[in-house]
Amino acid sequence: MKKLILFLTAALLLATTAFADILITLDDSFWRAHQDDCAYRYRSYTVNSPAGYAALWESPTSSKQTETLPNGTRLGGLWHYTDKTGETWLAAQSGEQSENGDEIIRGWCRTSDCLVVPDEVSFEEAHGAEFEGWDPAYDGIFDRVEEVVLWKYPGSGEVEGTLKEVPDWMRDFPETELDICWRDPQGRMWAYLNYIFGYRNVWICLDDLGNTDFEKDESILPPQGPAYPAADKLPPPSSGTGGLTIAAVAAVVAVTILLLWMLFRKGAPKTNTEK
Amino acid sequence: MSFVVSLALTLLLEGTLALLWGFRRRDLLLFTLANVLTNPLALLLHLLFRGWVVVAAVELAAIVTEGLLFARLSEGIRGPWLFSVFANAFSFSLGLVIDKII
Repeated sequence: MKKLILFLTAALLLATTAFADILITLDDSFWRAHQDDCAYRYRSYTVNSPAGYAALWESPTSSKQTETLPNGTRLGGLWHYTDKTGETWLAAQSGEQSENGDEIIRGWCRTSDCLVVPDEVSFEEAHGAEFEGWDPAYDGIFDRVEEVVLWKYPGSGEVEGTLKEVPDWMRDFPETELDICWRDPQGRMWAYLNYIFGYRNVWICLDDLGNTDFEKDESILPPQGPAYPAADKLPPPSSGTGGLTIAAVAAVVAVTILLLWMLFRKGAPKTNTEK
Repeated sequence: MSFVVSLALTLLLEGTLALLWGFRRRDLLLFTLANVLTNPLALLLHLLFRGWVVVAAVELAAIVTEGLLFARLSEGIRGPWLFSVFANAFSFSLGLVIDKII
């Protein structure tokens, strides 16, 4: 009976995961050509460039800008591309979709022109080496709990949601999914959840499952770089076409007109032209 | 798309049409020079200015310029204006498709 319940629970979890794992595709030709080279993880950023603004580009290889944004502007996106120089680019979401459901992006932004909004990735980068496995001392903690608070990361001070109902697998086999744990400076144990009931990449406090009052701890993550002021005047987005290009085209046009004049100036017998 | 690639594709696509249309020798040279005159300029204008009105105006200007050159300077092109319209519409449409694929 227990095996049957376990099997059904696993099947339900898989179905839920499959349903939730719908890949967001972009309405962007560069992304379509480089999808295999892009990482898929939602992150938010705040524009923060020494110049006071950052540009969004048509693509990481284009010289054409789509927008210029002042420092302090918030950007977010699921897809990240790293070019050959190691520069990481964000496909900045617009919030709109094309007719066939693809996400329309505002442009590509260098993440080096931004500060990342601290998230679970930042937390992992700072404390990943301190992660440990499930501690059997916490077996059974979900037996009588009524709700479990989900946090962005330990010390974030940000509640992502609350589980009003604890799934059976969490009661019976917590070690199967809660196998990434971390003990905070106050001695509290936290566990990471990749996905549960629509919530992604959240943490729960095993020592205080229902507490919603954990305040933000600024010391949890290393300080970020300096916050640069926004530019007083925002330049318009560059078309990517410089003076040299314009001069080159003008030269080609001039030479071609000259050639046409030299080679065809005496004209040819007129043909019967279509009206 | 770079200027060189754009011009090369145009010459390839429209050049094929020109051969099928009956362009020979001197008229093929005229055809080539006409496209060298219009294609880079059209692409430059597309890069500098956005919008379908600009696209339509630029393409129309290219059709008129090439049509005029074919009508006035060719040795014996049949229906130079019709060819200009057809060839430019063909390469423009194919360009849109290629852009979508790339």
